[in-house]
Amino acid sequence: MDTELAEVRALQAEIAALRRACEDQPAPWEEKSGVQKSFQAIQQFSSEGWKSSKDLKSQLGHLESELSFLSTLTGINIRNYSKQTEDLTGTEMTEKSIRKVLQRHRLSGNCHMVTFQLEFQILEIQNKERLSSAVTDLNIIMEPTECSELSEFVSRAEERKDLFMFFRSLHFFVEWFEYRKRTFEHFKLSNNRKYCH
Amino acid sequence: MEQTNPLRPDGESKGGVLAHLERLETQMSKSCKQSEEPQSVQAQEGALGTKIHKLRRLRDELRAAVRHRQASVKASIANVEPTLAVEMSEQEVLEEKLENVKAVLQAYRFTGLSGKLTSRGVCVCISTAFEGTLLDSYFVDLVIQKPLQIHHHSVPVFIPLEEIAAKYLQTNIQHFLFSLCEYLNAYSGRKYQADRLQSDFAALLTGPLQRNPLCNLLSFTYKLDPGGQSFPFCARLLYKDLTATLPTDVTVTYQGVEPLSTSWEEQRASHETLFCTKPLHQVFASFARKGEKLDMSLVS
Repeated sequence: MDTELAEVRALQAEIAALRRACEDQPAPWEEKSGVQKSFQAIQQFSSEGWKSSKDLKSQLGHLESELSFLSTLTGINIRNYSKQTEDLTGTEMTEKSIRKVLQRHRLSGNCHMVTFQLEFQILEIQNKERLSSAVTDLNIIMEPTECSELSEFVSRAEERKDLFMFFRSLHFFVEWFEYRKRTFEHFKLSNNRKYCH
Repeated sequence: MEQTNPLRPDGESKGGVLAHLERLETQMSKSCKQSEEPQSVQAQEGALGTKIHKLRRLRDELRAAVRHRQASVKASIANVEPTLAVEMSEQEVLEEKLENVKAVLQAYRFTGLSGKLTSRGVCVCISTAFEGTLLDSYFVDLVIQKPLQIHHHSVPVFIPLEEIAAKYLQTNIQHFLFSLCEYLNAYSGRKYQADRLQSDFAALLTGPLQRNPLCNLLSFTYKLDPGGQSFPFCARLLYKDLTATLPTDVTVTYQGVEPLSTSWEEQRASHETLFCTKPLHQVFASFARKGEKLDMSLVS
């Protein structure tokens, strides 16, 4: 009789626990509203989403190959770019149909083992006759920092606010450096061969 | 998941199971109460046995109910939400990547060379600038075939495009474009200097600025002191190197009849040097500044 009583108590305890579990879980029809919502979302997504997902992938693929081409062509690999625009047009300027806009650009990337980070500002002034764009500030951070030839043209570019000169010089410098390295390696190897014999 | 109140008036199934369970429980408590009444041992044992049996049934039903609910919840989530969630986050990731790639592509114009892939090949855009000032852009539309061809372009006719193409286009596209970049940037820079001279320092010029389309031959007359008595200087700037923005040959001559005094001769010679080493409009800017100083010295 004791064991049976014990079993009764155990069963009662389990039943109590199971009852609690039943109460915690939302009933299936409770989920219907959630499910219905999801179904609606799926319907919407299907009509616009499925197609655009494929479009997105092909678009991304196309643009990535464009990027790869430019990177190979220029020798420069840009990884990140962001831009902020500030309208500096005052009321006086608007009356004279002059528009002044300050752009803040930030880009970073690498050229082989050299990494760069640029922050520059471009001031655009639009009047009736023409639009003028000028770099008003240029800051360049390079890695590695110890190379003197690199720092030389970097400071010159910053001084003259010459973006194109910076990129062109960087590309040629790195190419020359890589060439020099390869030549050195070649001579080192051929020398080693001589000594080994 | 929302917490559900079993006391809320809900639909059938939940009320059904719980109501059933409640009924079973009341039956239990009834039978418990019944069992509390004095009965024979046999009766008690029998009652206990029945009770256990009923409790087991109740427990099994509850277990089944819980399992059933868990399964349906899992099913609805698995079928609906995770797929949707995965697809949506995939799309978000794609869209973000796309935005980033588009932005980086835009950024390439700051290197001086950018472009787009076309159905035929590639359309390259060459940006030009003179020191900090951004100037015109030019494009070259290339058709990828053997031999590589220029489909069309916006390069001015006086730029030796065919020459450059003949040298490099077939063997090294990069070299072709870099070379073209050099010519276009230099032309743009010379043109910019001449334009600035005309627009900003017209007061110092005593005649119109003469220039050729390539802007590599300039001729003008100027005076350091516009209102003064001295004869103007005549400058002739020749830029033999079409990839340069500074002249290779400069001659400054004096247009007067009388020979120049020593100081003026010194000035004439220094001007020749200045035009060779500094951008044209910057030389005139320094003239304008000196002119102010000169006025002051004449007064005193």
